[in-house]
Order: sequence, then structure tokens, then C-alpha cells
Amino acid sequence: MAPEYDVVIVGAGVAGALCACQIKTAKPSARVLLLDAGNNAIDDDQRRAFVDAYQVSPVKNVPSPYAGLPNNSAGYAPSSDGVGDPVAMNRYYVEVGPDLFKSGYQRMVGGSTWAWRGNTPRFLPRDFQLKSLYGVGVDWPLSYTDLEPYYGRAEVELGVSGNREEWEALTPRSTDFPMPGIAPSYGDELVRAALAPIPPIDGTPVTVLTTPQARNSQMYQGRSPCQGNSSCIPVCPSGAKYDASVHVKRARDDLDVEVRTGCTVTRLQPNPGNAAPTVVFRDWTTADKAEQQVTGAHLVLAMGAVETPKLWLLSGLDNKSDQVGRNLMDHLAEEVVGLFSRPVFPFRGPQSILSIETFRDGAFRRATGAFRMTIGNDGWGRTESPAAAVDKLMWDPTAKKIKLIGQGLQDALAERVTRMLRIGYSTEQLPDPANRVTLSDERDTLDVARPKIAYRIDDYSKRALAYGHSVARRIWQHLEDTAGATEVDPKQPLLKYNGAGHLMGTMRMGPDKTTSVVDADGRSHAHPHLWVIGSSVFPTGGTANPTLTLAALSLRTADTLAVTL
Amino acid sequence: MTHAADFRALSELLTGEPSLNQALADAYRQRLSQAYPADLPRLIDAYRAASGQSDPAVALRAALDADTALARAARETLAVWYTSQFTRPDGTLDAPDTPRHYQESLVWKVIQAHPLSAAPIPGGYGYWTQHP
Repeated sequence: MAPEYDVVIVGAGVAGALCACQIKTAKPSARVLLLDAGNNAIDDDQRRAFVDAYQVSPVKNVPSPYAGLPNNSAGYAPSSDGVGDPVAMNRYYVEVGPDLFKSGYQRMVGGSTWAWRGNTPRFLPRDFQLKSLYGVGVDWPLSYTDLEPYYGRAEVELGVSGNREEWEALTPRSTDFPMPGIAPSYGDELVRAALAPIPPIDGTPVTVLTTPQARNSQMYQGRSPCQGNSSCIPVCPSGAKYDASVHVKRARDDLDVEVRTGCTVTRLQPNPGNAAPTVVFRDWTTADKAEQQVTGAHLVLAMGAVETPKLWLLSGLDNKSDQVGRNLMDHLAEEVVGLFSRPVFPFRGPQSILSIETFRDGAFRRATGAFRMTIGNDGWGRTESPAAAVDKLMWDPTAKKIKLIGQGLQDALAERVTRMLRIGYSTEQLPDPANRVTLSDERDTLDVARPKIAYRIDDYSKRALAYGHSVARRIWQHLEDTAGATEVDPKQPLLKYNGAGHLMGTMRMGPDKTTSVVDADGRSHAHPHLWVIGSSVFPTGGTANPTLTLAALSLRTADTLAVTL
Repeated sequence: MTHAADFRALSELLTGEPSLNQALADAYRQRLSQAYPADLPRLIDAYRAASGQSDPAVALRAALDADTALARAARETLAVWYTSQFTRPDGTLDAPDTPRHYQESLVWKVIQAHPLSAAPIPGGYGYWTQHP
């Protein structure tokens, strides 16, 4: 029987939606189906409802705007997030340790881009050659030069604001950014001025740049410039920050891609020869949630670094390389906070605009992971919220007595919170085959195996966390010595970490079918009509936020796939 | 004076805000009363007693320092005004009841910012480059 579609794409996040648009643009006659496990709308009313849900949520964590979606609350397609809430995360993940994998994702139409910060730096050219240059990890099967044109296209698709002159040396470019860089905040400029005279640290200059962000600095493709709601994570009220609803809408409304939502894929049924597997799914919005199936000449999996290997493994697809599910990576993130000498007035504008990129590479990478640093515009971030500051100033928990009230409390609060500043660092993690996604014996509410995650922070990553702290601490020391900063914390490295939400690896690309799952085009070595897109194909994780790179790779895969149709 | 008026006056003394919204005060009093049915009326009584003194703030502080249950009720009263949420006796959070109330949280005004996810009006692109 002939397949019903030319291409079936599972997962309507940035990778899947972008891929659908690109294939239909290149081949308008192609019959393309985009399936997603979520059932949320992608219109303005839905966005307002997410903002309302966030505002009345007692805990303002990443899933808070989306927790009420039926697929989340009923566990049909559980979303999860580790930030400060490992218990909620573990409703879905089955973690066997020894360390906790702390990053989740939003399993919904538009995917995790609903909740991302929007940072879109490119990988550095040397990030693609970690094995050749430093003897660790593995090389990518393609180079920065190979990917550069796709980076430029991805920046146009997402709408990236950036300043070319700041970035040309780090990440050479053939095109301009679509928009000028985001305007730094009042406080950013105070910090930048205070850091201007800082001497190099370990011979590395501390250079402050404007982070490229998929956040509009002017009207772009019908979306407004950033309105400075200061809630990029977990929801942008204006839509000025890119999310994949942009491409789901374009696919559905302008390009005639069929979009089906509420459809959780439960397994892939292998077919004889080279035919793509049949997609078996349950539409959980129907009364009986009965299994249905659909076939495409090509199947593209765009479900992220946990769902994709889980589905592959439970379907019994080829895994002779034994690489499916292995090499799960994240960027382990921490921060050093302090009080600047003068008010920097945080919580006005995007949560972070400026960054320090100079520690993303160096000879130290032979033994120690690199890291990307950010200057926060959101106070003390995860260390102390404004609400926590109120309580700290007014309440003595030991004596159970009130400390400050009235104008005294207001003055102390203003004095403290307006000076809050954080310097964050987000570290590189090597691929480790023992860090892996497999199948748990436990099942979710659709009777699908839950993902089992084994995860260990190795010494390379611990040294990266320690070095990141050391550099952040020395930057703070400069601010203490020259700009009157106080209350710097922590003074010693704690080796604690937060997840960055950058789930990578598990379906690695490579030239050799014995050591990788897909080739440089994202095509399965074993199943030539089966493709994988998303950061699951990354052989190594570098230090850049992964979305722009996975978008570029998705465009590259879409081009290759479209040619075969 | 009524409970409604006295709770608002108590709240103004605790927060230092000169003229709090009565409807908001009523909503917060109702939520706090459900969680602290004995201690909130006692706190209002303590305010009434203090308000007749020459320095009501000093008198109220003395009453709170002498009674940890009263102090706790005062803490949660401050919390709800500053953040639109407070902690119940069992440690659970009583969340903002409406987005509007969340946006009224005092903390943002005091730190010269705006409620997260509710950009200032007037505002627009780049307002954050300027001193507030």
C-alpha cells in the first residue's frame, strides 16, 4: 500500500515545525503531516491564558504556565522540569542516578521554545573538533564552515537580534544578523563600565558582548519588538521572543501542512525493506484513545533527546551501534551573586542581555570543560527572588518575630533588591556513553514506557563547574575592589548545578554506523527513510545554547530530504 | 470602626503605604481569615489597641514581639500585600487569586520594576535602558 504522506514529522517543536516549512517550501506538492503530543492552541488567547496561569501560580517555575494543559495534568504526555523541582520532574523520569538529571522539556505544540530564554549564540568553529584539538569527546561529521550558511538561514527564520561586529571574530559570518542587537539595560551598562578595566584572568580577556537572541529588537515578520516583560522564561506575553508556534502556524496556515495535535506516538512499527516505519499513535482527545496509524514515505523524528530514543528503543528499531539513548548531555549551570554598589534596577527588560564568551575555548579544554557566562538582568535569579528578599528582611525565622515593617521595610527592600546582580556560568559536558536514556518498567497514563535516565557528572564537568566559579569569583573580586560590590556568594565552589534545559545527545550523528545513529544529514544509518532532527543528534554539546544549532541542522536535513522526494 | 476598615489601616501601618485599596484589602482579609481564623481577628484587635497609643507603630511592634502567633499573622499580612500570596499554617502556599491581584503586588513598585510578565505602561522597546 502506498504511504498516505510523503513525509510524516513527529514533534511540532522548533526542529519539526521548521523542517515541515522547509520541505513544503522546497517541494510544494509534498504531502506533509506534522504530529504533536500536545493539544494547546497557538493563538493570542492561548498565550494570554498561559500568562494568566503563570501569574496565579504559587511557584513561578518553568512549567507553571503550562501545568494545566490536559496532557500535562493528566499525564498523557507529561512535561517536566527539574529547576528547583526534582520531585515534579520525577513524576515522569525514572532516574537511577548516581546524579540527578535536572532538565526537562515542554511536550506541547511549539515545544520547549515556549519557555526558553531565546539565547542564540552559534557553536564556535573549534566546538566541532573537540577530539582532534583536545583529545576528548568526539569530532562532528561536519564543520562550522559546512553549517555556516544554515546558521544564517536559521537566524532569519527565528528572527535573531545581534551585533555582527561583536561576533565576527568568534563565529565568522557570511550574512548580517536580521536585526540589531537587543539594547542592554541601564544596569548592564553600569556593570559593563565597571568591568572595562578588568585585567585578563589566566591570560584570558574578560570581554562583555551582547548575546544574540531570537527576540525582536524591531518589528519582524509581524511580531512586535520586545516589550520588556522580564518573563522570557517561562513565557513571553508579547510573542516578541521567537517560539515554534511561528513555524507551526506558517506550516498549517500558509504552506498547507496537515497538523494533528493531541496525538502521542506510542510505537513505530518496522516495515520490510527500506520503507519507513508505520507511526502508531493515540489521539488522547478521543473518547477511547484507540490506537491509530499513519505511514509516510519518510519519517522524521523531532521529539527531543528523551522522547526520540525512548520511542526508538521501545519500537525495536535497529540499534546495532548500541548508541541509541547514550551520551545524554546538558549544560550544568551555576551562578555567583552579589550586591552592586549602586542600583542596577533588575527585572526591567529581558532576563539577560550581556555575556562573556572568552572562556568558551582554550587549551584548558583538554582537562576541564569550557563555559559560557551571562550577566543577569533578573536580580539573584534562582538564589533569592524578590519575594524571598521580602521575607528575609521582615521575618526572623529563629525568633519567629517581625524584623522590619513600614517605610523601613520598603527602604531596606529597595536598597537590597535594586542592587542584586548575578554572573552565571553554563558549562560543557562531555558525551559519556553511560549517561543514557533507556526504558523503565513503569508506564505512563497512555501505557507507554517511561524514560529511565542514568546520569553521572564526571570530573571534566566538575572541573568546569569549579573553574566557572573561580572566574566568576574573580570577576566579582574586581567589582568588590573597584566598584564597592558586597555580599558575594558563594565564595567557594559548591559544585552544585542546575539544568540548563539543553538536552543533547542520545541519537548522535557520525560518519560510522558502528559508532553513531544518524549520518551528518540526520538520516538513520540503518533505516534510510528514517531521519532524526533536534539536539539529540549533537555528538558533543559545546557551550552554546543549542537551539540555533539544532535549527540550522534541521534546515540542512530538510534540504537533503526534500531533494529525495 | 469595622474589621474591613481596621484591616486596611493595619495593613497601611505594616506596609508603610498611605492609602491601600479597600477592595483589595477586603479580598486579602478574606483569604487570610480562612487560613488564620483565630489569629487574624486577634491581630486586628491588637492594631485597634495600638492605634489608640501615642506611637501606634511602636505599640503594635511590642504586641507582635510578645506573641509569636500574632507575629506570624502579621508576617503573612505583609506577604500577601507584597506578593499577593502567603503561607498557610501548614506550610502550603496560598497563591494569587487573580492575575490582577498578582499585578498589584507591592514588591515590584518598591523595587521600581514591574510585575514579571506585565510590562510597564507606558513602556515599549528599550524602556529598560533608562533609569526608572
